[in-house]
This record gives sequence, structure tokens and C-alpha cells, in this order.
Amino acid sequence: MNREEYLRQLQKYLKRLPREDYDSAMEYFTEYFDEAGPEGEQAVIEQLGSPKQAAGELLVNMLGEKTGKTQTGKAKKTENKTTSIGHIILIAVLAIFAAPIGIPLALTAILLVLVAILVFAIGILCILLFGLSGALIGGKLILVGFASLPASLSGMLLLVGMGLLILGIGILLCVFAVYLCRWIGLGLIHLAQKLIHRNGGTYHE
Amino acid sequence: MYYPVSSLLIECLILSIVEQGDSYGYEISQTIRLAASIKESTLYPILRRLEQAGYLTTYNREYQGRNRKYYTMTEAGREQLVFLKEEWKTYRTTIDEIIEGGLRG
Repeated sequence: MNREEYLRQLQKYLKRLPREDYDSAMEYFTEYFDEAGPEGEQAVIEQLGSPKQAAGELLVNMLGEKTGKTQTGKAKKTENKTTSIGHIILIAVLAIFAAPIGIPLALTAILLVLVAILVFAIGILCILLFGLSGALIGGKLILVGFASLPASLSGMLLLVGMGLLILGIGILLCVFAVYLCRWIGLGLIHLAQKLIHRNGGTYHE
Repeated sequence: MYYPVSSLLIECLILSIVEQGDSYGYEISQTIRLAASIKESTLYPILRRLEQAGYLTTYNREYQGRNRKYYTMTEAGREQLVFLKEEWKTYRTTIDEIIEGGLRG
């Protein structure tokens, strides 16, 4: 394989990266070949490994850098501002595609992950709606309770008490749903990294 | 090299190289490789992140009829390097004292 062929294949695997990331990465590797010169060409290719492998490692490492796994707290702060969740998910999906497993397997993995995301999202939505309706019913019970004060004091206390209980449970459920959302998001990113690392993607030599 | 070099230390090496004079990808890579057997697929994302975090900026300069991308230091990069160097000194001293100086916990 020569340099043109190598860069062409690398291009193919990195194509779907955000435009800026893609341009910058291709520019870097093209320049790297230029610097090594024709006599260093084969050595560079040998060192990088197959285009697929190199692209896979590149994506995994970019994902690692973006999720801030390898940085000091000081660096993290500036990082979080510039990286959106959507960006990370895109690279995670790309990394799964570039992982050295067969395309059918990769497709299955992608579909499984997407279905898992959907199931979790629906589950979280249910919990959230449950919580919200709980909060609303609770609020209404409290109002009704106060309205019934002229008729019966014990009745009012009962209604207000129940209202407060349901309101509290509702709010707790909402908070729980938000946390669940974050845990599952982080879990998915880890899953993507694991999937890729299993087949020889290495960070350290 | 026998000992693995962490990506934070590589960050420190890159910033140190650029601090002493603007440099380009290949030169940085060849220098890092004196100390660490690291692949381009690992080094490039670190370099890219340093750029995105605002520690390094780049400019293009023509070299033998083609483009060369030079990395140069920003003020934020200088600050980060001071921090990283300080951490490295502490680490190095502690390791040395354990190996050579009989330091015990």
C-alpha cells in the first residue's frame, strides 16, 4: 500500500466526523507523510497500522479526550464548554463503526445500542410523566383540602396530608429521572469505549 | 522505552517543546518518540485537544512548496505548563527519593 491509497482509506473511515475535526485530522496525516518523505513512507504506514485500525484508535482517543477521561481538573473546565453531548455521541457511534469487528456485527451493535437508548428514554419519560402528574394531583389535593376546611377540619387535614405526600413523591421521581438520564448517558459512552477496546484498540502501547 | 508515558505527561512534553520555539507536528512527534513509544493515532488527539482547549494556536507557513502547520503557545498554555511542570517536579523528586534516597512512607 502506498501513501495515496493509505490516505484515501483513512479518509473513508473519518469522513463522517464533524467537518472541522475531519479536515484537521486529514491535514495532520497528509503533512506527516510529507515530512517523512518518500523514503519514510513505508515506515510511517507500518507504524500507523492499517487505515481501519488507525482510524479506530484515532476515534477512540478523540472520544477519550473529549469525555475528559485523561485530564486534570484544570483542563477539564475549559474542555466542557467546547464539547457538546451530541458531538460525543456522534464520535462514539463512529468509533463503533470503525472498530475492528465485522460490519454486520457493528450494525447489530449499533442497533442494539440505539434500541437500548430508546427503551431507556421511554422509561425515563414515563417516570418523569408519573412524577409530574403526581406533583399536579398532589397540588390539587392540597387546594381541595383547603377548600373543604369550612366543612370539616379532619377532612382538610387528611386531604392536605395526602396532597403533600403525593407532591413529594412526584418531585422525587422527577429528580430521580434526571439523575437516571445522566447515569445512562455516561454508561453508554463507557460501553462504546469498551466495545472498541475489546478488539485491540490501544491507548498506551 | 520500557516505562509507559501517560497522556498528561505527553501534554507536558508537547507544551515544553512548543514553549521553546514554535514547532510542527512531525518535529513534535519525533521528539516525543525519544521518550515514549507512542502512535500518531494517540498523539494527534492530544495535540488537537491542546489546541481546542486554547493552550496552543496554529498558523501556516510554506516550506519547500507545501504547507506546514506550526503550533505556538498561548498565555493559557504557559499557565498550564507552569502547573504541569510543578506536578512533574514533585513526581520526579518523590520517585528519586524512593529509589535513591531511601524515602519511606
